[in-house]
Amino acid sequence: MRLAGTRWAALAVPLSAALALLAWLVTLQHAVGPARVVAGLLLVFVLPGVAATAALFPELAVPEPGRAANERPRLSRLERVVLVPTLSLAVPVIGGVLLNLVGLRLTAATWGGLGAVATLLLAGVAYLRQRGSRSPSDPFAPAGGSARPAAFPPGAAGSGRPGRPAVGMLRRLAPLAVAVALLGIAGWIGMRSATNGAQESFTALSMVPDDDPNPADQVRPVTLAVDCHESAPTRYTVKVREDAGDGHQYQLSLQPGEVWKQDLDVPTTGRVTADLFKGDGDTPYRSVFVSGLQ
Amino acid sequence: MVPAPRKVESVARVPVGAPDETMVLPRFTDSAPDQTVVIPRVAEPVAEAARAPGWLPSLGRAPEVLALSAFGVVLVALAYQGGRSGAGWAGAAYWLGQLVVSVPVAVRMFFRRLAGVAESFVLVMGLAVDEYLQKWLYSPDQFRFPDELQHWVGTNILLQDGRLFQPNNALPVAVHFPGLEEMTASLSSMTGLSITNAGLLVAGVAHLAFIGLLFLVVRSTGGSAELAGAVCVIYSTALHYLFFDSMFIYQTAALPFLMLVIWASRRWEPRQRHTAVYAVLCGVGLLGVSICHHVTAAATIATLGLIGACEAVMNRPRRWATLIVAGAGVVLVTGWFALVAREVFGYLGPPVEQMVGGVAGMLRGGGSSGGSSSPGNPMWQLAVEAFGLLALLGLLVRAGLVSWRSSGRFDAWRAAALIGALVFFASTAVRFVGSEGPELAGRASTFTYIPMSMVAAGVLVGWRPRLRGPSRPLVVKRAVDGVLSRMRPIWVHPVVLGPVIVTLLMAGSRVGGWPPYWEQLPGPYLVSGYERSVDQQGVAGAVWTYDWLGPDHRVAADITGATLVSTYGEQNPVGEASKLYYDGTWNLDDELLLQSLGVDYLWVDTRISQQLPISGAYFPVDPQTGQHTAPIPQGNLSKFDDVAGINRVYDSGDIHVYDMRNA
Repeated sequence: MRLAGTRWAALAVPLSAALALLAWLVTLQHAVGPARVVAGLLLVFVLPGVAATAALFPELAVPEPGRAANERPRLSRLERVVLVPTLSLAVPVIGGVLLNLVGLRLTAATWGGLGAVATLLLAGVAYLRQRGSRSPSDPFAPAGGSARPAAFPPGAAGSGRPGRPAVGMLRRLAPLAVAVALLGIAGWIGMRSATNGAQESFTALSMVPDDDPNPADQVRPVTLAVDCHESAPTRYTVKVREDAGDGHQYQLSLQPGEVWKQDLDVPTTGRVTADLFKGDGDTPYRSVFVSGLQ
Repeated sequence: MVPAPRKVESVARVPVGAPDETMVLPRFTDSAPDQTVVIPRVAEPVAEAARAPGWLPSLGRAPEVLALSAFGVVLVALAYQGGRSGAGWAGAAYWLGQLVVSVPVAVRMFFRRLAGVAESFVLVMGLAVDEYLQKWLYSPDQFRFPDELQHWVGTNILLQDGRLFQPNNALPVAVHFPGLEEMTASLSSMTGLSITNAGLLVAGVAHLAFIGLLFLVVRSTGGSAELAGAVCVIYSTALHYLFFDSMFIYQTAALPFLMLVIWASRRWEPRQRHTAVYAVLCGVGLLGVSICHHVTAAATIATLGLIGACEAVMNRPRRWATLIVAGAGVVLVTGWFALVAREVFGYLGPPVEQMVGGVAGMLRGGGSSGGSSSPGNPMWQLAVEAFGLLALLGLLVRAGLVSWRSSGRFDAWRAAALIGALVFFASTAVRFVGSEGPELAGRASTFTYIPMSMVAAGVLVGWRPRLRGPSRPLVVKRAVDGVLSRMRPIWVHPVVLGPVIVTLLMAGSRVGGWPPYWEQLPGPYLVSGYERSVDQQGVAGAVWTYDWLGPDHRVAADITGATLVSTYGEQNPVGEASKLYYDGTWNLDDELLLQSLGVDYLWVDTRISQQLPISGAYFPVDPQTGQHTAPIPQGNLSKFDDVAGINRVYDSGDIHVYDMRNA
């Protein structure tokens, strides 16, 4: 297992570089939804951090007691796990300021390019530093041949245990699966109660004066709108009246989320009021007005 | 408390724990001064290890404990559901859920039988995930807290313009600290996720990274897995841990960089070239924290300065690395403030001046200039909070006593933690200074509670029934020993004492932190109730202002209206127009005020005539804060209908928008 872990560490660098390029390409393809999400998550939270950690700490494990003090510092697996998202997040923070400084517009393409290029550069540095530290006899072994991961030690310290590791792993991880399932249930309850809970039902009426192309003609344009946020299809009546008593009337029926609009020319003098009546009601449900120009 | 182990000189080379190693466990006990406590690590039963596959870290009982803790999250979700529907049992379910989330992890952490670092780390991260989910479950469909909405619109502006430092009317100072917006915009634009979903992911990952790095910092000082875990568990009882420290706000993005700098500075030795990578990490962290958040940047420098000063004074040979990093931080942060974020001085100045004035007033014996504006908590909640603080004070006193008695080697890290803990109590006193005292104290606790957690955890992990007391007079010693010998009960064991204190602190943080007790559960609309004030009608009205009026108009509004129109509406909010609403009739003064403030539109939410403001103020600048005895009269709000030249351009029932440009 130690060799496998070391091999994985050595593979992480080229793998992160290749994945970064692939992820960048995927994020540019707007059609592939789930793959794009995964690619974006990798580019923001994982790949730059993996490459940066590998570039800064080419060795896998912490030095053993008694090892020479001037050797390259090493990280435990736990430290790598924590540093990866932190350093990944530093890339858009610092890189974004630099890109902005050189005048590049920050779009999906530039963000993806930033993550991918940073990963490639750091992976290159990691490759060079790792190459310099490898033993000629074992291309995957870190310098000195020690790969004892001090933190996150393997569960079975002793090797050669009997039995079926897959079953043991399932038994050990079953409670974690239960925990994840419970958190999923909690999330479902939360989303359901937040979105399906007490939904407000209301309708908004608005009347907004528009730019008047001909101020001398004693009328001005306004736009009247009804925005339905009711829980069911609703019938309305809109009555527009002037001070003089003249007016228009509109009958409409709207689905929830639907908006009705009407452009009108109204006098520039006196107040023009629009009343909204809901269903067969005879008292205004909503009311807006524009005053005459002074 | 995480002092460097007495017999290990270089913290950078302290071996970290594995199940088969015996490691130095620094602890706050009253052992003989130079005696190192060596505790053979107790691994989980062999049978378990034998069943686990080789690549899987030994997780001990973490899976079972986290399963139980996750059940607590389900209870909290049900409590929130009950709160939304007004169920009477919701409060009980909430508190039961809080206990089930925290207590099992605390018990396991203080059990002294952890399987190793992996179990401790997984427990800590599991607890952080559970608590982050509680925050998410409070408002899973959209951001509702004002600060979160301000950063939501900041990210929206970045996505629209593709440029940094573009004006944001909702929080002008935040445009100079765009770290959170950069993270979120990059994720949102690359994945196609909404800003809300991308923001929730970014805030969650940043929060977990922060806790993970806190764990690493304790480990890097020689702290055991138990101690590192205990520090993180106790830190999870900070006043603002549950919400503010994991919200979609710029502090959340900055906190991992703060911890990164502290962790890396502990390992950098300028005279050892091979440790230069840690200097690089310090630079990355300092840049990150400077770009992300002003107060966190200042806190980073202060923390480094404190640790560095202690190291320079106490270490032999003197260690300058941390002070060098602190100096670099000063240059970088002040450079950023001076060249990029000059607005920060105007933003932070008034609260600081108010706090200083309040402290000066208290010292002169004149009392504080103003108390909390919101209604006080119920008495039992205040008592819980007070007992929690007393427990912390007791732990600090004990830590100080032990440190003083074992003063043969009073190491720098221990001194820095003790000083930091004292700063925590000083900042707690700020609660009682001025109207913004409680908020300032809560926000400061994000930083000052870190050393307090270290001190408390150090005492609890190394708890002994009683202190050694050679200096006591014989009569007193006999009397005290006599009493203690009869009292030697089980509660002095850390596995009992630790979880009891953690539970007390957790309860205290829930009642004294965020959200305040009156919105501990989500529920129906409340006037000036922060998250409880953001409803569909308000959001629709604010979006309407953007769609129909265009952005950047000056809109006068109440607290909630100002938040909504400045974020969803991208308008320029006017918070100083309260007189327009308080006057019973429209008069010349109102016209002059309208002109002097340059108000284009007036947002009138008629619900302010139906309820008192739950947080104490109706308006962002409210001269009657904390003095309201009745809601604003309805006539004060309907008077606008009769003013000549005013247009009522929007009516959604509770919310009216008036065009005031011809008034």
